[in-house]
Amino acid sequence: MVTGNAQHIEWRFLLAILALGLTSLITQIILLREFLAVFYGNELVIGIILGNWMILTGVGSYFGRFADRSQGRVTLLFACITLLAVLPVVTVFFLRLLRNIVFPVGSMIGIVEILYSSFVLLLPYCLVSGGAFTLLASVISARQGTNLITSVYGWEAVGSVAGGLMLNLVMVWYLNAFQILIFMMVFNIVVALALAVAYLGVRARYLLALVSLVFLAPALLFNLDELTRGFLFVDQEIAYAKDTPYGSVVVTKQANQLNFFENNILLCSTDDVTTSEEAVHYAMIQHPNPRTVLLVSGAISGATQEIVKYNVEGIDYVELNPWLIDVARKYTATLSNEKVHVIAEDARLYVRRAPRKYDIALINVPAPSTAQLNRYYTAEFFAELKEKLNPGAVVSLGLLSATDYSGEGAREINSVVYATLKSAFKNVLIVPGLKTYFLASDRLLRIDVAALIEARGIRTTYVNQYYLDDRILQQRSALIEKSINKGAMVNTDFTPISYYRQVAYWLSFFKSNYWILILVCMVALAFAAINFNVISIGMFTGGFAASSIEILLLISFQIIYGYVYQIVGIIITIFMAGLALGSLWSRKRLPHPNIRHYIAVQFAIGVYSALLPLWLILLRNVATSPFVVHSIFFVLTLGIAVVIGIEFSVASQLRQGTVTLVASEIYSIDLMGSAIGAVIVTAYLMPMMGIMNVSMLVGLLSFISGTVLIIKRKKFVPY
Amino acid sequence: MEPRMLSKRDFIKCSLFGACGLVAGAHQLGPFVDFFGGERGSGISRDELWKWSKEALFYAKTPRGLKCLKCPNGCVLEEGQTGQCRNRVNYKSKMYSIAYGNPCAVHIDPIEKKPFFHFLPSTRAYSIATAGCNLACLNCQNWDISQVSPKETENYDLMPALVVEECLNSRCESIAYTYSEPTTFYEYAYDTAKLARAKHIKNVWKSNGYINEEPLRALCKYLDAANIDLKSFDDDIYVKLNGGRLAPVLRALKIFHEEHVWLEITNLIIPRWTDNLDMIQKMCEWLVENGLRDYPLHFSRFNPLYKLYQLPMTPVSILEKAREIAVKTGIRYAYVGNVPGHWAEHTFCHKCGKMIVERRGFRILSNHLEHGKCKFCSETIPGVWSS
Repeated sequence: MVTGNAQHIEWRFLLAILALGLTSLITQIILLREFLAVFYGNELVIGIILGNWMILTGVGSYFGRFADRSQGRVTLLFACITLLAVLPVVTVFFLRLLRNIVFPVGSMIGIVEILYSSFVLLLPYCLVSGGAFTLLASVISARQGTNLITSVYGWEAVGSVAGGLMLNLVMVWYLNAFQILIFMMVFNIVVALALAVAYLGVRARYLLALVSLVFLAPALLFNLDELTRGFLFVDQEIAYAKDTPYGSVVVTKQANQLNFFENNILLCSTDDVTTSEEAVHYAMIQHPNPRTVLLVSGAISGATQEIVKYNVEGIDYVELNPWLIDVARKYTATLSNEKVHVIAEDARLYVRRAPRKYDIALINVPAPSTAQLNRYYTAEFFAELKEKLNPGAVVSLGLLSATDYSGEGAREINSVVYATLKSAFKNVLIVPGLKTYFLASDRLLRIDVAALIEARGIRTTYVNQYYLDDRILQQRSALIEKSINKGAMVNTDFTPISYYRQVAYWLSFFKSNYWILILVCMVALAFAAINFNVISIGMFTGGFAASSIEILLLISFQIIYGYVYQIVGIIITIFMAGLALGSLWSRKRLPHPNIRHYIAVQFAIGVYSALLPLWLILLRNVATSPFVVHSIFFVLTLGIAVVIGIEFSVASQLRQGTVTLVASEIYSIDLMGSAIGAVIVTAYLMPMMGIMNVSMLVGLLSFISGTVLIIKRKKFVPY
Repeated sequence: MEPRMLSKRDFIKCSLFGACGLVAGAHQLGPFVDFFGGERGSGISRDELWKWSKEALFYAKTPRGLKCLKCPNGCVLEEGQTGQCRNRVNYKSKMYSIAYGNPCAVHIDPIEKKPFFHFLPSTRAYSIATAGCNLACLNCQNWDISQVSPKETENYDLMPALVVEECLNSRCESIAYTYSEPTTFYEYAYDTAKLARAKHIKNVWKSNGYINEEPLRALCKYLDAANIDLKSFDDDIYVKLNGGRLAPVLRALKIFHEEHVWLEITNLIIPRWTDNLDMIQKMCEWLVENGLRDYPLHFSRFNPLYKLYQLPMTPVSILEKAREIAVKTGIRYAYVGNVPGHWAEHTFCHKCGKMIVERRGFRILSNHLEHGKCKFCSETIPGVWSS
């Protein structure tokens, strides 16, 4: 089937399409990771960067239509591929260089600044890569004398699949960001060379030699990663740096202090007794005889040394990122105690299969600023955790807040966390410290921590009567509890309200309105509704549905099963493969589609989205075998992707006009729909409406789109 | 052929479908509805007066509007406008403070927490703050109070007389004007301090020192002690990190000294921003040259907070070096703060070098002072040691 289409395309161009798909996917993931590390990794920022990416690529593909007027389209294509080789490395270099030049050193960057700076930095790469798609479709179709947009779309998706596999199975495990991008640079230069040798004059080859000299040679000669990390960690000596699949891990040295960063955010510095003691003793001292302890993250700060002061039997330390465990072993003594048992796994996944029960559970994960992190703050997680706790066990978690007063944003988050803990435990106690700690248990909890520590004879530096006055602690605790809204919503897996609260709180730092972005999307939607023809509306809602459903599937998988990097990578890859499969299959089996096929596809997407919640409920409640869960998720992903692939193919055949015009329009509208879907669903709809309702809403939109098509079908004149 | 466009009629149809969808899901969109459902907080806009408004002290009428003379920001407010501190409004050509008797934070703290190490050690301070600040530090630890207006916070109703009464009831030796920036609730603090003085309660001022001379001298009549954040010794850093200037703070330090208000100075050392040891040396030299050598200087450890979060904590050795520089330059009492259990929490006699106050956290483990003098060498130790 695939080779059947490929027969029409000369191999050099086929290579160029594959290279475009491969480079786009790898660059997108690498740049997204870099941007999130340099900016801030919450769901809104992810949405903004993805949105910018897709909109700019869409605009690029739209501008690609002007290539029809150009005499030397192959030359232009050659120039695009050469630029695609160079731009990713240049983008990451400037991102890291400019971070502390444009913005105050070490400071948080506001949402508006993130919006425009990611737009400016992504602009060159995305415009070129979008334009290259239209150009390829145009050049190849012109050479073969037939519309081959579907093939280009399909082969580009095949390239993406290959890119996804290479990246997730090999590259992220062994190479850093620059090494990956330099590898892609070499690959694209080779592709450009192949085109130059066959179709262009000697000047193109000189140009490639020059590009290699100016960009590739320095990239190979200098350690760009080390150089640019120096820009990020000003005045610090970098002792360890590793781009891991879970994010970058960096250890810096300053004077004789070690600092541990994950995605550029400080995890801890050495000599920080306040953090390590507060995270442990507030909870541990509540239990008369804690024997077994579950520690989720945070060992690196020295928590285990504090825990063993209680003569425990064992500590099960769960950490998702195995490189953090390596760093802890290499630079600290925290894991050297024989009582510490290290488990490199997602805590959600581990808690379900934990072989023993615990007296204490210390949850040290970051605040719930993403859907992924939100999973550690839900009623379901607390209920699962409780199953693995002995009677009277104590749970602790901490959230950062201002020292002497909790503003509205902080109160909202505190309220949700409080209500959610209350759904699983009889008692919840707030202990105000460097963070606001929440203790939860079915036993009575006491705020006179200093007196308890004194009575038990635990030797501490900070959590004791010298630094804590129990009366003052009691007053401050009561004040925060009083400020809590007791009727707050409970945060659940499928209605993840607390990450919305967390992002809103973060936005309040910049006096930014949460709804500005949605207004931008609304304007885009209104523009789309007024200006689009029937095919475009279908593509737009198709793109919207595709990105929404992909996100919903990824998040649901993590909720129902747990986070496993490779599996999440495989789901994304299957999605890409589904697009390719659908597109190429349709090209073969539906050579002359009509409007009815297009309407059928719209309704298929609608039915799929409306039924998705049923599958999710079934999976959560019935499926116990990991094999079944994985298989069903893979099939669900493949299913929707194939339908979207068919939709693109059918749309490109139905739409009238020149190949360049059609390719640019359909591709750009698909991307625009995807961008708006990514932003609206992750940042707004999912936390507010819940995953199930969003899925049904997406279904409703597809039904509307299908209905509009039915109304318009008689006026539609196929070419 | 021209592409087929969606007609206006179809657009209306689509919109109606969309609206139906939204209505269907509306019950799920609580937060969205809440957001557009009127004003949050008190429900009173900033430029209106309320129970907690009082005509401001220190302002002048100018052709451009009312000029606030309280702090070096020198805001000029047209009718209805609010000052940069968010606490001062121009209402019908009069300037009002809207932070009078409405603190949002009321706590009892050990005096050492402010920090005061040479002022009534081991006593407790009844601490109050309203919302608002005249600076905008990237590393503010109380951003939820400092960067908002009193109309956006949940407040107590605590007029000056009640503050004094509550302070007496809770057996605190002092009232601390603290947390946010007391200069912005000057009128409230001033009236409270006056009443407190009459009841023999001490008044302590924890501030950024960003205040003009005239209001400061007027206030000093009722102040017993001040702890001033000298955030750096570089005007450019003050502009970029704090949104203020250095010179007014230095002037304020000299005024406290001239007005005989007990002074302690806090210098937060932030990696990359304020950890230049040459700058710290210059700062200490300035303090000594201006007769401030007897006042304790606290070097405090930075912890990533608020907007300044992609930085490490301050290495303890840098704090120790800063302390060493201070002592060598002639500062008699230099401390290291925010490092629990550190030896530089103790007080060592500037003459004989022996430990005279052994501290652990907010507690004093041993005290070798007698009537404010070192037990070992009889040297007078600067400070206010008893009420």
